Amino acid sequence: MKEIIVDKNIISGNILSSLDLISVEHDKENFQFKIKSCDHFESYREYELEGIKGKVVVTSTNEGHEYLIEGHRFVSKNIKNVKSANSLHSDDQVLSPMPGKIIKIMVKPGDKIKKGDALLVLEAMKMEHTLKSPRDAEVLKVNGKVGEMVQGEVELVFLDKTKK
Amino acid sequence: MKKIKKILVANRGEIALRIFKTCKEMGIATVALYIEEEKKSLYVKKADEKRSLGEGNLRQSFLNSKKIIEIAKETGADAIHPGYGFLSENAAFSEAVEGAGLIFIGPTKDSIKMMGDKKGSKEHMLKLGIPVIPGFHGDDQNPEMLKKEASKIGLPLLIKASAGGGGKGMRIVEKMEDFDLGLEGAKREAMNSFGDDRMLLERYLTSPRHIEVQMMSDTHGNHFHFFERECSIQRRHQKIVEESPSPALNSDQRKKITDTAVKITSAMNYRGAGTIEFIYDTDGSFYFLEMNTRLQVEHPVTEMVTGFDLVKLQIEVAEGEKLHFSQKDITQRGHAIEVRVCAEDPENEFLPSIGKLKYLGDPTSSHVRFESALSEGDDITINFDPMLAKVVAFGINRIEATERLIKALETCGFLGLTTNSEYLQQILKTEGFKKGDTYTHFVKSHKSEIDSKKIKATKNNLALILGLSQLSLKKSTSKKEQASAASHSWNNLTGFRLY
Repeated sequence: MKEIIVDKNIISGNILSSLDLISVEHDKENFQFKIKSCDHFESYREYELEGIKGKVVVTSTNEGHEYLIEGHRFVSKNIKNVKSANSLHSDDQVLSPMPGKIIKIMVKPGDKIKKGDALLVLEAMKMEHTLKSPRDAEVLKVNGKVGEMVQGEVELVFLDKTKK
Repeated sequence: MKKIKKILVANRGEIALRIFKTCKEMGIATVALYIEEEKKSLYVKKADEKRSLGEGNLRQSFLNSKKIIEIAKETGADAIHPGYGFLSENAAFSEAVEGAGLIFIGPTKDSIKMMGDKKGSKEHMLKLGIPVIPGFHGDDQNPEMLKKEASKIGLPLLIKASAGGGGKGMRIVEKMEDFDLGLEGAKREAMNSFGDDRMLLERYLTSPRHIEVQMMSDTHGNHFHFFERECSIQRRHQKIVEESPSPALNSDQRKKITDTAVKITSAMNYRGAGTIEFIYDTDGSFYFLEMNTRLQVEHPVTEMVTGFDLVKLQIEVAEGEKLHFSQKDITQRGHAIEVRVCAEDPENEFLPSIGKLKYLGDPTSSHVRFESALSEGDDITINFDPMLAKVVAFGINRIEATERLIKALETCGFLGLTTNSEYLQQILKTEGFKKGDTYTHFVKSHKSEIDSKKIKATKNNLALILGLSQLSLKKSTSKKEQASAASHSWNNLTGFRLY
């Protein structure tokens, strides 16, 4: 998925006369549109943009907002949340990509492993997912044991520090 | 004959809800079972009575046959409908239900047992003269003998490790002179991967389709078919798109495959609903794969093109009634397509996704069925089956059904969750699908076309999103700081990233 990072440096704009009329400047183009909230749905709005009328659904999530526009789901995340998530990703730890149950562990501390080697198997929603090593490394530590439930983004396997 | 007055559904989610709807129409009372986590699910609310199976693992609780039968007796239910999955194809369960003096809405334990044994059922089919995929599954591993068997089976041929999986220890042989080398290679690979180099041989179908026939039999010797469904589009052997009629069959081929299916249910004196699955080859030949002795996930497709309520028929058969129609009263009209919306992320190896459903648009219309027990605010956790909903669209032809289905998926939204909805829409939009070129390797061979990463925000979409985000940021600020709400600039925006 192409990521579009939007921050105050690349967008600017003004909210004109009222909350309902919005003007956005993006990529040196100016867009003006009207937004009308519909009473029966808090999350549901009608808009008019460049003469075209449409409907949009907006909901807020823990990390930002989600939109349903022209049948497509869009997700925007507050940049604070994106940064904190990214800082977790390092070559030295393998994280659980989702909450799940550990059903098999293939490595132990001291094992020399190659990039792509299977480390452990997680199960969620009746499906198994094999975690693989991101690089050639030595296993330092394995967190968790078979049968244990783990949350998402939890460090499961620690690898020796990358030589820089 | 015994009229059923109360049914306990030994299942959850959309299929429980589906069965309750028919029960209500027939004036039959219903009992829902649930685990604590799903106490507030829509399907539980729609039943007349509800009983808890306790805390914890969904599968263990819905597999607890003793407890389920106990609850059925306590509530005074006279029949149990198993739905699909869980205990639906468990011969011991059907036996225990009947042993407790209750009606099992499904086939006899003998039918379940016979079809549950995948190897045995194929041997049984051969005796009936039903074609199964030609192959050799014997213990004799002498290379000369294997070669002899191979030439009997015919080309192209698949050499496959008995212990196999994941494509290891597998070779496709297109010319007989390549057989020896292929066998050697497959054996070596199998020995390295599984420590077992026993091989089996099977005819290799280059472009197979999955075509199945919906069956219904009463206890008075009537064995009907309700035409075919094609479910070739699968991912990891899970069906994701199902339709009826199959775009591959002409009326002669349709007659042949449905006649074969009727021959099977008649020969085994089957009872109730079942589905016979076939592998269909490009040359029109087809082979028995297996029979599912229950209601299928994709049964609504058949209901839409035939107009019959399959659950109602199941209940009538269970009551011992004679089905008062003939085969020629069952016709296929128009076209219906179903997709399975799952909580998974197509852009991240289809990993299961979890979250809170924040918005769910209702696509239901006179031509669209939305089969789901989800409501806004529901939490999707890892204890659940990843299937969130089935969306089924009817059209007077395949094109109309496809267009309606895409529109319906666009309406649903499923905000708050990552789903395969866009992936499914992309499948429906491919030229291959439009032409009816649907084979079991469809998602692999059309990978680049159905890549949902292609969906990008247009300039207008982007502007809209920026504006709305700004609006909500401003709103939340204005709540906190009424005085500064008049501020007209958004220079204090922290910024966000758009996916």
